[in-house]
Amino acid sequence: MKKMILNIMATTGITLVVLALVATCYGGTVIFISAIFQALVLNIIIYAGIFLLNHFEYRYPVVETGLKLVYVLAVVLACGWLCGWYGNMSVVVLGGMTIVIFGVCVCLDTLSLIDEVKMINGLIENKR
Amino acid sequence: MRLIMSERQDLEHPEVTIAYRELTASVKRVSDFVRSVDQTILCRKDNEEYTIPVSDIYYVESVDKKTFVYCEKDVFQSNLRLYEMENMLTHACFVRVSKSTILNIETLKGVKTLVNSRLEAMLSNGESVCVTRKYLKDIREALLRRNGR
Repeated sequence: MKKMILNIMATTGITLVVLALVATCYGGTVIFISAIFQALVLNIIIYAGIFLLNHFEYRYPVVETGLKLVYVLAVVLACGWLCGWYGNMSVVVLGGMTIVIFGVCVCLDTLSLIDEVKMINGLIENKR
Repeated sequence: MRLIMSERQDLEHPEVTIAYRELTASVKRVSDFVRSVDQTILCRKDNEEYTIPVSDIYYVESVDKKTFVYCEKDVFQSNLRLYEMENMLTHACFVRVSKSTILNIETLKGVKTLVNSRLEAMLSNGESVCVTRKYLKDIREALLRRNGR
């Protein structure tokens, strides 16, 4: 649970940074407080779905990653429609931001996996 | 933990006595391990039955609702289901590494990540077994317990 909360906070932070970068490109100078909470709620919903998807085993990791990306895109685009984000940005920009954030999270996740495997191999070495 | 070994000619079978002040997790682990040393599983191969010591098993895999027991060089079949094997073998250093496989931690030589993000456990007999990421935590905990932490 603690790890999930930390992950949600981390991805919310990444989301806000990407949002700020995109807004800067379009000449924006402020982020509304409502956007911060919307980003947080969105990440919570995404993590809840990812948590359920992780209960299944997939033959190919690429299929698992693709499925998660489709789910995340669907949730983000649906939230964008519900929260009225399309008045300020296009679907393409929102989709692109989502893919960038997802890519960053996958990279961080891979680094975490490499660390975990190193630790396990260290424990195996200690036994010998 | 102090180890005292003594040779006694009057004994027919080796005997292990564990003296403790308090039944801690590490004392329990030692007793579980001693119990598992003589534990065997009935398997069959080519219509013949074999009694396999648990310590000789590298991993157990379930394929098409059949349970296969892999030793260093041989493969046997068991009538037990994978979950039944898992319940029997948990205290004998076996841990689930995927939906269809349980692995003897003592035979684990290392874990590696493959190019396509898959994980592979390398065993001491040169074989490798696919590992699902969600069971890495269980593998780590089993290794920590085995290393006495």
